[in-house]
Amino acid sequence: MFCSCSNEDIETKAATSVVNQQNEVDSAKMWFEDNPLKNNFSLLEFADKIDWEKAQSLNSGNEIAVEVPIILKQHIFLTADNSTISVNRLLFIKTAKNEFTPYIINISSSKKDFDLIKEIAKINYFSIPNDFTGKVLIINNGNKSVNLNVLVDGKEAVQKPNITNKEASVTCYEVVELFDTGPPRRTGIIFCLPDGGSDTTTIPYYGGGSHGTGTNATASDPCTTAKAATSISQDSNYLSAKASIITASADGLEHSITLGKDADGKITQAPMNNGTSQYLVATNTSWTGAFAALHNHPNNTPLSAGDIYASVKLNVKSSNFTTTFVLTDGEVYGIVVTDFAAAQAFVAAYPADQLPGYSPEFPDFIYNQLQDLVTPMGSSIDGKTEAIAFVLDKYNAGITLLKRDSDGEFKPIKPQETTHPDGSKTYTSTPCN
Amino acid sequence: MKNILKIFVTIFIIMNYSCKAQQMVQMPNDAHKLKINEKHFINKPLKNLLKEIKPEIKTAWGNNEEGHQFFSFRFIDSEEFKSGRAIGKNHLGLYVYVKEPVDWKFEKRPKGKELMWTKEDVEKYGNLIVIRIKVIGKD
Repeated sequence: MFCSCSNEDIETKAATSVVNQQNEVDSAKMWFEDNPLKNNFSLLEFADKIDWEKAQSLNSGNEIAVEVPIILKQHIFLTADNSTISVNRLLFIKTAKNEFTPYIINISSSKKDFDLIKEIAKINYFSIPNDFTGKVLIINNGNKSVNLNVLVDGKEAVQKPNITNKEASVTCYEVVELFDTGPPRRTGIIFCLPDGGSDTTTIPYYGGGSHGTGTNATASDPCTTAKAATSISQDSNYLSAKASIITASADGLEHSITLGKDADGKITQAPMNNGTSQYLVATNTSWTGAFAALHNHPNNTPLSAGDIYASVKLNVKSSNFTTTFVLTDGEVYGIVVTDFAAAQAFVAAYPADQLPGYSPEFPDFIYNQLQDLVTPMGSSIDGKTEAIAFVLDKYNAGITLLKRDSDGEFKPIKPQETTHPDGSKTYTSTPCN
Repeated sequence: MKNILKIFVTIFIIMNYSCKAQQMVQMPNDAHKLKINEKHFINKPLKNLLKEIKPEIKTAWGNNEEGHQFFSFRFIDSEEFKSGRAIGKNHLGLYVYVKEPVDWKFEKRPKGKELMWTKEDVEKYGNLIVIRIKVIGKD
């Protein structure tokens, strides 16, 4: 195969790539130094060196991360079992230009013949080798352990992790001083989490970016996704945003409010964006820690193709931006991108049918199926939403649709099709436990 | 004079018959021709398009969402859709978008015949202005 590119082009591209990587590292370092309050990790009190010279910038798709080795002081270890073999890093996930969300990562291996120190270069936010067995602890800048990936042969070993699962075994990591003789000296800094557990909806899955090629049951399980949405909907800022939109909607136009998270992980709300039509409003994507947005549908229209494709675009723009809440006809529906890779693949395979001057629609192949479902599922908002959910599942779109019930809890919309001997079809939903 | 009148009447009858025989859609799958010749129907009343369809429209419904006002026309029996048997078979769907709101409520249509397309429907909706046509699938 002949390549028409000149050596100069290749060298230029390689040089540009190196420069870009260095730029990202420099950007992360500058952000780290300019934002001490956002990087107030208790573990850093015991750091001998934050080794920026060995920092590396990584990217996968639209996601960028910077990892920086942390060298702890002599005899100091962050460990769950007094093991001395582990690696600590600062992880900066880029959320916007010159903005990052920081974490501390502790990687430990439980496989005796795996030389962690030698192999550590292969382990990063986007990649875990197939021969790695061990744990990855993720600590946020609130000094809270937010994820504990338990991996066997490079894959997540613990299914359906849940912070409320009392049957899950709990692992506690502690900063201790270990000596050759005598007991460890405890510092009192301790992080405990159920194995495989996480207690936020917006944490990275180490080894595949926040969207993971491995299983991340917390993100993809529809019932867990629904519980996460319910949790968000109980927050005062969510409730305030919802009320503001409902009030504003009296003008017959669309309105949108973005939700974000501050350095302490608390939900914040951006100023409202006001649309100029009944089906168009811009979503604020630059709000710090943006992870969700609410908007209304004047005229009480159902979830649309435009809503679905927009939700994926938001997730492309920011890996944290996974959730869209749609207020219509007195109800609240949710659109959650639970598998970014699948959602991207869906959009690539089935791009929106977008004519100038018209709202986007699903492409013909899917559009026709949605119309077929009008009679068995109904032409109501619920029926049409159910049809969209069915088709999204059918084509593995990695998107979960939710509806808030009368008790204020979000439930996933996951119709299951049953084909009867005469060829007729019926649709039922399996409730969450 | 009488003979001239007879000739004119005969010509008129022949022309009328000829026009009907030349309806664009002779079989359901001919509906794709409506899309190919879309420019003849855009910004014209819906009844103009309907006149070009010879096969019986067996199933129809209206959709009235802002920006998505259209009629769905099918050439297979409504029972296929109600039962779900039509799903996944990509039956021919003719979707005609109109400018005006579509006053269609299933609960107000004759019970058991909600999906039937009638002469009354042609009367009621025939003057709505066509703005877009989609034809998908085949029978």
